[in-house]
Amino acid sequence: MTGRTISVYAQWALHGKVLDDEGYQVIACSNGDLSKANFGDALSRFTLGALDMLPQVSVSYLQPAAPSPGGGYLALAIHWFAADGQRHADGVLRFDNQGRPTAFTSYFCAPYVQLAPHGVTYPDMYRGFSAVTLPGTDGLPAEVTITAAAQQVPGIDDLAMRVAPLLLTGVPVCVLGADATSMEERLRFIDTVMGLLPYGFRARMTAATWTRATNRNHRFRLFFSSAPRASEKPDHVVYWDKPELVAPPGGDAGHYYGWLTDKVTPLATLTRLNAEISFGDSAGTEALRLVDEIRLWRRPRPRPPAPDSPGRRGTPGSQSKAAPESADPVEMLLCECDEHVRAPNLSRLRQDLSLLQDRLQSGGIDDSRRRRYRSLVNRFGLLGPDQRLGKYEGKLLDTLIALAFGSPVSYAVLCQLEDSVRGTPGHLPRTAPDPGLPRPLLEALERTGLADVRSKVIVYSHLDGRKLSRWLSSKEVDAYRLIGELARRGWHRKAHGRLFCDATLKYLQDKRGRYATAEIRRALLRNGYLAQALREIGHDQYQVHALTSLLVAAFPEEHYPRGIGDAAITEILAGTPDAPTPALLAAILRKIPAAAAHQAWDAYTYGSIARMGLDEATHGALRTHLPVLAAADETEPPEPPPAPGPRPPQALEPGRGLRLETSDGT
Amino acid sequence: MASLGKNSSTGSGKRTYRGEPGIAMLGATGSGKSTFLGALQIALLKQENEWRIWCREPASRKALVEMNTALTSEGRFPLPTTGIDTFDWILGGRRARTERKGRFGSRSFEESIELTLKLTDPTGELARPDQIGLQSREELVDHVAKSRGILYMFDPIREFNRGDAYEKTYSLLMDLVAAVADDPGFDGRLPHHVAVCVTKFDEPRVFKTAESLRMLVWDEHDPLGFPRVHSSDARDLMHSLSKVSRNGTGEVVPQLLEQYFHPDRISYYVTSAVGFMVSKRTRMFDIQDTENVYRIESGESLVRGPVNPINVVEPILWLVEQMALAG
Repeated sequence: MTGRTISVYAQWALHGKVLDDEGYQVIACSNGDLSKANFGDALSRFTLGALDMLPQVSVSYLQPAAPSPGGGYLALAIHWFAADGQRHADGVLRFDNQGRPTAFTSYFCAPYVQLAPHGVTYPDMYRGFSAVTLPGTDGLPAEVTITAAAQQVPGIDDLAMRVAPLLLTGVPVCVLGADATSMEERLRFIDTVMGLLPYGFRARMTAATWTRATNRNHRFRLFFSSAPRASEKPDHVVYWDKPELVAPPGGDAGHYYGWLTDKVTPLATLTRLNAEISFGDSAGTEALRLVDEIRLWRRPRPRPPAPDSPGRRGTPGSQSKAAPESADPVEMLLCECDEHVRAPNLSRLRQDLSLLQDRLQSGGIDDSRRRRYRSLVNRFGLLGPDQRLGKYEGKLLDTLIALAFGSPVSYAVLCQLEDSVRGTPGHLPRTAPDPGLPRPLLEALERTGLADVRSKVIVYSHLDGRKLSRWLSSKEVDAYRLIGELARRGWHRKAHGRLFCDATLKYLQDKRGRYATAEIRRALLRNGYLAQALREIGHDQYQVHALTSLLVAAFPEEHYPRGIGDAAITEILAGTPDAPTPALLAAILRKIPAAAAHQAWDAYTYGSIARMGLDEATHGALRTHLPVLAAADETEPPEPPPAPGPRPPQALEPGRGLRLETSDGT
Repeated sequence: MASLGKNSSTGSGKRTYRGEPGIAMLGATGSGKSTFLGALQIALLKQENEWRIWCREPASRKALVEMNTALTSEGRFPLPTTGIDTFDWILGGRRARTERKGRFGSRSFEESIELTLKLTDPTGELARPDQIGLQSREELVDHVAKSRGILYMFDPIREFNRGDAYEKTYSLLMDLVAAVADDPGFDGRLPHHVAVCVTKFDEPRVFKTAESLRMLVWDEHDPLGFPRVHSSDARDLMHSLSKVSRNGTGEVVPQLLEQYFHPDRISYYVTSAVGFMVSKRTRMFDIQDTENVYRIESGESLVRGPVNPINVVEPILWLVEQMALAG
């Protein structure tokens, strides 16, 4: 494509020095709409600082006092030293009257409305304006011919791709390390960056091919320099030839980077497909095959392989995934999601999520589909943390949970999610310490909704201690429910039970005085004081600690100043549906005087044997060897016997095989 | 330029002064502001004291090296400033200090000090009255208003040729007063310490004036035999030089400064950033050939001989000392 030639009336000013000791000033200017004062003001705003490397170019803009759409000017200034053979201006002297080199500026501005429709670039403007020799006296605006360069497929400069979104943050960008480049090269870079933004941004763009680093207060948005300027508000500093060091910005500017990557990179990649190809009958097929390889064009993908081959995000194995050919669109979208998460391409990810949300709202996701989605999500490792996604990380997780796991999230589903994030349960022993779910996932779970007490305790415990405390203070929770839940056992991981137990102990400690201790005792008695349940979730030390805390809650010191009485000891160790554990005995021994220890020993022995699953004959033989238990001096009336709770099928009923005897022999 | 704000001391007697504000340079175009800064490093070296200058900030460091190298090695003057250059230079050295010990005793010791000098070097054009209201002029006023010290460069040759020192100084002072008038503690005068530097001492017309007024003093220990004008005579020399101002207003510049600044916060120096020419034959000062600047055929000015700055360190150290005393 050939470039188009346009003619513009450029207003101009020549800035520099004459031999009058007045220093820098506007020597001459056009007598158009803009006055000498306008030019003086504009030039003073965009000063490069004293440079010994000229020429340089700066671009800026001018707005009339009463701004109107399209009423502004694009400005380009050429900064130069007067030297033999220069043709930027007539009658200028190389040195001022003190013998110092004078830097002149040829300043041009042309109406934006004349330039924008032709997509005139900065190099186009520079070519046109640099051919003008300005007079040393005021004169008419200059008619300048600008040849707009032929449109090309954007030459993708990786640094420009990253700098363009940085400009959208509003923070100036300083390019370092470009000392060896030419002014023209740097101007092209500035133009390439602007070519990656809507043209309209040029109406307010300011840039310079070089600035003095100690000239800190300049207003260029994009500039080259030899060192970062120590301004109050730091610039984005990027390095020439080191685009990989430039982190994409966050927020919408980051999304713009994602959009750019998606739109521009594939086209630029065409130049890499340089193997010789002929224009034969299969040229179309061959072209599609090649672009398909670099994802320029997306074919329908074959059904994904069996979900039992786990893949993780970013692992080479997961690159070869493929979406189902026969098309559950959700599965297709999940594949797309994975691709756009991996890139990351946030603008496309946003579209994917929007489509998935539509699918969710339309309903009709049955269990079998959910299982398939779950399998894909697991394979792609989509539930793992990924800070690069910014605000879309939460949206992605919300969508995936609702889609593949359903809502609200029960304890069982929570365990599935945990397995999903960690790999299969086999990868992490059931007894392994709980590293906790990633925070973004926990937050997503909370947003999605938690169905039961177990899932709430686990998620809130991991998320925030204060959140857990608030929840424990709510009406949703009471001690009996927590104790009952602990007694129910069946933890997917030991750590879950431990978390739940900690939460229960915290509740009992924090809410002391707000629950009926008699009820607590009954609930604990009914569940064997949780001794057997605790064996599943904690080691000996933890069990003793937890049981001691439970005993403190059940027998508060203010009501039992002399400690736990003999009758209660007997009840705890020998009168519950479950056999006592050594930890329970240890906890009891910690809470009673030494003189009462024999009673505890007797009760423990009695309870241990009485709760064994022995037949009647064996029991009968043992009966006479068992200690006789006494219900001694209780200051409080004995509690009514606990209602029998659920028991193991072969557990022996107290008093059926072995008889519980009181001190009076009844 | 020099900033003396908060200070901290360590047990080792090292004391560090940092922070804003700094010292601003004022003077007309070509009065020698940038050259003065470029000569500071070599001036410190030639004084053979322990003061040294260095930078942490990369841009200022680069500028320091470039300015120093250009002047001393290449004999080239710095390019005229455009815009406002700001340098964060650090002045480090030792000074004697006396501290009370007990009820009646005292002890003297040397302490290391490190001063962060924030130097503002604006283009001279910003002092022109026609710049009032422009953004860069307002930035200059803001810089100076925030500074605690001012290096005021008075160029007697320019005053002779153009005679605009009064006009520019007055308009700038008006802007400054307006900028600080609402500050707490403003008593009608600007709070800055001002070191007035009468520049270009090596220029024959300036030198001859000082000589004719019998203001030259010689230090017998000066290896080059350079004469100087004592600080106590500097104001009178400035006054005399201003009498030949082109429009006759220059002679009231000292009064103008003393009207808007506290007179006891103004000190005068007669300076030359490049110093006198040293005779190539005798390696000594030659009273018949003082100027150390020459012009080559193209019109460019260069330094003739070695750079031996006169009164470049002194005004800065005076400002530093004053600001330190003022806390």
